[in-house]
Amino acid sequence: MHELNTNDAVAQPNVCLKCGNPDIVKDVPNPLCAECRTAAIKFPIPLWVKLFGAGILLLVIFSLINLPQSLALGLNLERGIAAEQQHKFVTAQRYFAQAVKLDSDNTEANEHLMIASYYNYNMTGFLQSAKRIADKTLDEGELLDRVNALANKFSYYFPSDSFSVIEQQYASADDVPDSVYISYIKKNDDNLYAETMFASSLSDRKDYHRCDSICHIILNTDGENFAALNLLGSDKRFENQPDSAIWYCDQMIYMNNELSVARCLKARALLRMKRYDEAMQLVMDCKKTDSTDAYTLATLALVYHCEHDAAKRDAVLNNAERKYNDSANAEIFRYVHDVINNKEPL
Amino acid sequence: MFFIPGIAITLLTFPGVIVHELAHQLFCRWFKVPVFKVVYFQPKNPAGYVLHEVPQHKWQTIMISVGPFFINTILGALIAMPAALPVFRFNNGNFGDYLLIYLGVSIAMHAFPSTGDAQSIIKALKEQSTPWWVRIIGWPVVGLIYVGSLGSFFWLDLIYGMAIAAGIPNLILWLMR
Repeated sequence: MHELNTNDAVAQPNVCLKCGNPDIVKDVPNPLCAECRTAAIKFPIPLWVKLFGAGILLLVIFSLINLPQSLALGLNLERGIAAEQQHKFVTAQRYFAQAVKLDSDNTEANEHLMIASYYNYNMTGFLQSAKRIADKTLDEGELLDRVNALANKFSYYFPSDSFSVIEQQYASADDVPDSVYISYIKKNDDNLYAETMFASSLSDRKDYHRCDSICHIILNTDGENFAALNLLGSDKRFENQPDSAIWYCDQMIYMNNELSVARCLKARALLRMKRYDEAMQLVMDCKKTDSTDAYTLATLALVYHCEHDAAKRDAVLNNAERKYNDSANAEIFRYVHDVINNKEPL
Repeated sequence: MFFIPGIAITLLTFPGVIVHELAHQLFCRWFKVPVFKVVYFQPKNPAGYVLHEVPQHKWQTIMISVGPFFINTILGALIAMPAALPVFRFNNGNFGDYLLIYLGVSIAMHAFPSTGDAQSIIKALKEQSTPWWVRIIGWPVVGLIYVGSLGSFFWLDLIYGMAIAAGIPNLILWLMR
């Protein structure tokens, strides 16, 4: 790859070096006539070099067709990872879902989507992503370790076969007698789902003290257990310990600072402490993350209720009920009506 | 550090040599400097060269010498860009993607001007008529070329090629995220 110059030429003839024409261009290092000089400046590029370049160009054009999709996939992944690092799992899930939409076989996007779904307490999303990569070879590393760790915890949120048999004998989990729960948990002390269902049943019956005990047993096994933290965040408020309720809510918010249910639960505890402005701020932040979440809108109605703004309260509540009142959300709205009608404490 | 004969590397990465010499030739054409001979690739040392007239302006000598640095870098990055994300980020590259990465890395790793290019610049810088500002720019360029040449013992050229091929698309993603 040497570059050579001809100014080392020993003899400089008075005729064109190439064609012998005596009419040479003056004041230049090499004696060439104007025609030969122009031809040398435009020294021809051989056909094979041109074909070589054309071949590369063709390859690039074909690849460029896929570039926008690759860039979109990469951007959604990067933005999702950035959100994940900030524990903003709602945002992260949105980006990872978009990445999976672009390439459903992408193992990295699906693994991240599993993590985001888990921290959003979206176990269906977790399962769907897991199914998509079930038969794929996954790269060993920190990401896979995290996914495996969460997959192990996944069973905490679903009944085992043996507990399903028990559940099927009753109309609902609340109808399972305490003695059956106690007997089952004694025999299967690692079954967090059964413990969670029992704690939830006790909470529904306002037996907060026993519910708290079981929640702490669950947290001893799984310190990140959403169901237990959620129950404690709610129960402590009803036990008139809003400080304690906020502590449990903050545990959930630390894991996922966009989790509406945790932030709204905290807002409700703040309402109990008459810290209305902070509660309003939290609920508004939740609404910004997801304006269609029924629990957020119900909490917003409660904030207006505490601020004695009945007009806004009713407007928010009516609008939310009209749009989102299905069987899954009925209990959420019923509670707000009960608080308004003084049937339930805040 | 294991030793691989330079000629083997050159043979393996011949597309970069062709583009390097073509870049010299194109810069000569843009500066209207007559070219007498171009060897785009040969399986010996030097693997390629361009024989051209001494340019009228000294800065043109520098530009012709360092031209491949810009052309090979830009071309290497452009060629590798569509394939870099599937290969380096998503691990799902196909044959075409790996071919583009090979071409991109080969071309980018031959971006560094050779010591022969540096000697052309030195000769121009030593002349009395060379303007002071050309010397100010020229000597550091010569220094960098020799540093690059020394670095090639430690695979700096390959590292540079890989960084251009894989790094730029990932840098774009990082900046846009």
